[in-house]
Amino acid sequence: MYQALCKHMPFLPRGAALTLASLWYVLMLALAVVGIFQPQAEFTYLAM
Amino acid sequence: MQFVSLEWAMWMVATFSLYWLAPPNWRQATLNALTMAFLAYRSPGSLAILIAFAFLTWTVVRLPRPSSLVVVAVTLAFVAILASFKLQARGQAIESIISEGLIPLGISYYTFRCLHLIFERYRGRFAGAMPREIAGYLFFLPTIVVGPIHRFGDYQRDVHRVRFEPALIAEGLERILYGYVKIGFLANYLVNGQLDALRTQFPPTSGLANYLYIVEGGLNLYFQFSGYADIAIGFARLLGFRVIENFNWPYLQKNLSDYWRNWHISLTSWCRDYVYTTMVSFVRSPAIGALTTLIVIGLWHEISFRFIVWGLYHGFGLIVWQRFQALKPHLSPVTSKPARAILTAISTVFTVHYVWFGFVIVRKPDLAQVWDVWTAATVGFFR
Repeated sequence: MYQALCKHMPFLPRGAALTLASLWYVLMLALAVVGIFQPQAEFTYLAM
Repeated sequence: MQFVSLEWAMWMVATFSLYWLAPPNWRQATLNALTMAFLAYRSPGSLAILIAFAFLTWTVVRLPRPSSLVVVAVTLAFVAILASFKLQARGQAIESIISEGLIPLGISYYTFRCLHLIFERYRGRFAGAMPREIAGYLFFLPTIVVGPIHRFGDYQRDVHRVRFEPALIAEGLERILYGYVKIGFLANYLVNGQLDALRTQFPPTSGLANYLYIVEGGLNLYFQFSGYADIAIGFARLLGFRVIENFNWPYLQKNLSDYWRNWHISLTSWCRDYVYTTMVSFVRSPAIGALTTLIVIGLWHEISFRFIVWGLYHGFGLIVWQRFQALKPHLSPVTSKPARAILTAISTVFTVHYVWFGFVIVRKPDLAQVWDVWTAATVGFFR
């Protein structure tokens, strides 16, 4: 994400890009943790 | 075992650590040993079959020029073994298939990898592969459970230049994180939790409830499967390998042909290379080639009437698309930009709905129920 921000938004200062990328990862991590504790749905591709 | 489990996370951490701690010359052997340990622990039957398949594959690919007869015989043997397991598990719930080991773990994926090696050898495409490279390719832990069906050429390219690359490892961790977000948050929480709760608020025979059932099935399958693919691709990057992408925004494609180029890419490209091209070279008909390929893709998932119907449904869609492409030069071209944008949007919405309606065929036990859902989700709105 940090590399993508630097590439697509070159006007963004490095510090701001780093902060935004960190916030993005924290958000993703939080969503993943929330999701991991949900009941899992059927998924027929697994183990086939 | 699910990918969303502490157990799988621990396997990934242990594999990553032992793999990079091993001396460079021992890394592939370490990974092979870890894959064998994983299969011995989770599915010993699968380990025995994979070893037998690997041995048989090696026996064929070491021949200077395997004859057509040998290739056909070995292919039939592989397909018969795969089919016998699939028939044994037919109609069983996924939980019992996994817990009772009715289908050896990952057999559909590694059978196609073995066949890929044999077909490529038959076509004279690769030469000089070492036994340890073939073993490393077939016993590659990240893709063993749920694909992608990566290609030997890509594996061979990466295995010679594997080195500890922090940027690639960061990419791998990012993909694994996105995989967990897709499976856990988007599929399990949003689609199966919230969207399902919304659907149950409407009468079961209403148009909206049935339409939401169709949308839910399409989104759940995509988020789960692409999430698993993300975890597998990310795990491979942690070990220094780039494996084939399995999805490229399939639900945003503007026609069925593009959809199939971007959905389960590793399987569809395998079938295009070995089923479609073979059929077309024999019968000289792209329509029959498309129909056969889609039926094979359907049967790969499950040997059942409903998956044959699903294959025919998509095959028919592709034939209509091919016919339309042939007609296109005779139609007046759309030159205005807004009109083209509107047509693209309509085409994209139509394609995704064609695909989602198709999933109902394999989610319902009989065609009468499929028809009920289809009619309720369309004309049901106007009743």
